[in-house]
Amino acid sequence: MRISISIPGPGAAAYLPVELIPKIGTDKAEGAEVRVVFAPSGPAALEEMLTNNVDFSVTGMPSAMSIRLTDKRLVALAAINDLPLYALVVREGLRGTVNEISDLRGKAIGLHSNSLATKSTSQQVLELMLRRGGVSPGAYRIVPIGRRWETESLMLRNGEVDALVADEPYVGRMSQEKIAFPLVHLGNPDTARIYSGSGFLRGVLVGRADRVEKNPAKAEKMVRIIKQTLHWIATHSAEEFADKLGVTDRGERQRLIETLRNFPRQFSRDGSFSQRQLRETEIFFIDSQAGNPAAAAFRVDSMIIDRWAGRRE
Amino acid sequence: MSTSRTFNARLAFRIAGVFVATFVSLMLMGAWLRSQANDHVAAIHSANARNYYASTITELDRRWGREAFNLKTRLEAQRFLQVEQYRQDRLLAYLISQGSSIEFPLLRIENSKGELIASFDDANRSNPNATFLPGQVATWATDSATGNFYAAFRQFIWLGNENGTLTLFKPMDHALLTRLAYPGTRASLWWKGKPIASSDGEDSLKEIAAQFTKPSNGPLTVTMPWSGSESEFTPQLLVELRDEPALGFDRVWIAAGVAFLAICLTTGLGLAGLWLAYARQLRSLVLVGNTLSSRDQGTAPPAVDEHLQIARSGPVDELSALAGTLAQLSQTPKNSENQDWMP
Repeated sequence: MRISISIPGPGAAAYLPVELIPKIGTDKAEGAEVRVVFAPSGPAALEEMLTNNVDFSVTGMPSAMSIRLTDKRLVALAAINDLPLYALVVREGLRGTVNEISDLRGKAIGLHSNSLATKSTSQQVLELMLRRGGVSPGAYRIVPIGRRWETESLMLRNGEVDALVADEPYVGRMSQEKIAFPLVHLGNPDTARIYSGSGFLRGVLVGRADRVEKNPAKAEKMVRIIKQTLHWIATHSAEEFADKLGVTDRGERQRLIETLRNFPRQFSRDGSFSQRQLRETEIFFIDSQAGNPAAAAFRVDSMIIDRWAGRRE
Repeated sequence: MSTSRTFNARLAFRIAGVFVATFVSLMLMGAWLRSQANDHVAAIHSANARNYYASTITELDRRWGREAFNLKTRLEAQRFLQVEQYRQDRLLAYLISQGSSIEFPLLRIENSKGELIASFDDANRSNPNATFLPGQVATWATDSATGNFYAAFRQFIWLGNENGTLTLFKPMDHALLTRLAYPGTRASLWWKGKPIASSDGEDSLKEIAAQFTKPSNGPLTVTMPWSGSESEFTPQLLVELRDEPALGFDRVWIAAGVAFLAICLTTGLGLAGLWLAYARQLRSLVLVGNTLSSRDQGTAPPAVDEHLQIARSGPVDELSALAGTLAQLSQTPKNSENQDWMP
């Protein structure tokens, strides 16, 4: 059985479990062949799935919820990530000038977004951080950026953007290479306490309800592959993870290993949905979309299919 | 009475035969009308789909050509291609900041010697191989590694001291066909005898390949070249009409059944009324006959007159006439007897 899946990237840490699938052979073990298709952003990856280019996609849960508001076909099948590792980083040239969020007024902020109609997860994180920091939505300029190291670092180095929301291990690399410094890091427990719902479910496997209904065996197989892959990650060392991914650059390998060690809750251990985390995701979604009545009325359970991944407290 | 039963049975049998014939005729007529209506609807749907896809393809080709030209002029206006040191970085920054608003997620810029000097790929998708004939500005390209298929456009672009070439690639994928799909149809793109993309996604390719050996026109299919004249170098678009028939058998059966019941009811009620009146007329005559044959001398009993009256007013004219004759006969014996006893 051929299964295709789109993810932002390549190389984005949150989606590495999917990149790992063909490399550790969890797809072959299930009698399937998984083809990974990269997209420049989360919404673009979802677009690939919604327009039949791929069977499934992995994207941020809040981003999927944003699209679900208008497209009822979108359903979440398994949890890929656990806690989010987003950080708001500022380009190195502004060190000393930008010391707190309110200093970002009038600056150009990079986002992995491509539409007014839907919001990527990083956009929701950014808007929440800036609002809490006293920066209103009209007080900064948004510049689209790609969801790859090459594009994010290029836009910061060139000064096309002054700040952006990035994932680990890019945040660590930006600091090491003096490209940018983190202003706020959600991976820091003290910071996370300030932002309501910041323990939201980061990445999920999503599919189209009509296609899942038509071919439930394929969805079940994909979830089993994800669960096996997450189990492999949970039972192997960070070094083995990096080796299997084929990361040859020494610095990049070291940063990946550090990220995996420092943030052990980055990936889900079994793909099941946590009831508590879903509630927190709902809180985050409503808070980050303040003023949107559709978001306020939205209930995350309406898009969860947990019959294969399972659910826990 | 046995004759009457036989007659009734034969009559009932014939009426039942008429009903069966009526039922079968109604069903056959319904099936024929259904077929005619569905063929007509399918023909209209097919013509609409052909017009829609033909005009959409033409419009897409025009739009891609326009966007290709506009992108080239925008890149030239930025002037960063003229400075060798940072043209790749500036090109990337410029295109990334456009988000997904540009039509072409892949592009290459080559100098006049054909050397690659800058390129863009929004998500490390592919490395298609496009071969242009001299003077050709648009062609088709495939990536042998991924199997992805592209429409490729080439034009000159000013690099500061010479013209280079800008090649733009547009993916011809499932997403493109899904976005342009006409309701009630499935579109598949064929290249070199194989379906390579479908508006129903990758899963449907195997089914389409098993169903069709090549794109062709039929009652439920429409085929057209993607653009230009048909040749082995032109992808073909196969459109399948997949709507359910406008009229299903269930509706035809229901309509025919209702018509049959209405015919049965009206015919049955009409015939039953007539048959009861006829039976009453006949029974009266039989009773008159029985009474007259067994009567003693003297006048006819009053019941005979009553039966004769019923028989005379019945629906069958011949029986009414017979009743009249019997009424006269019932009076005749009295006169004859009187004459016989005359001296």
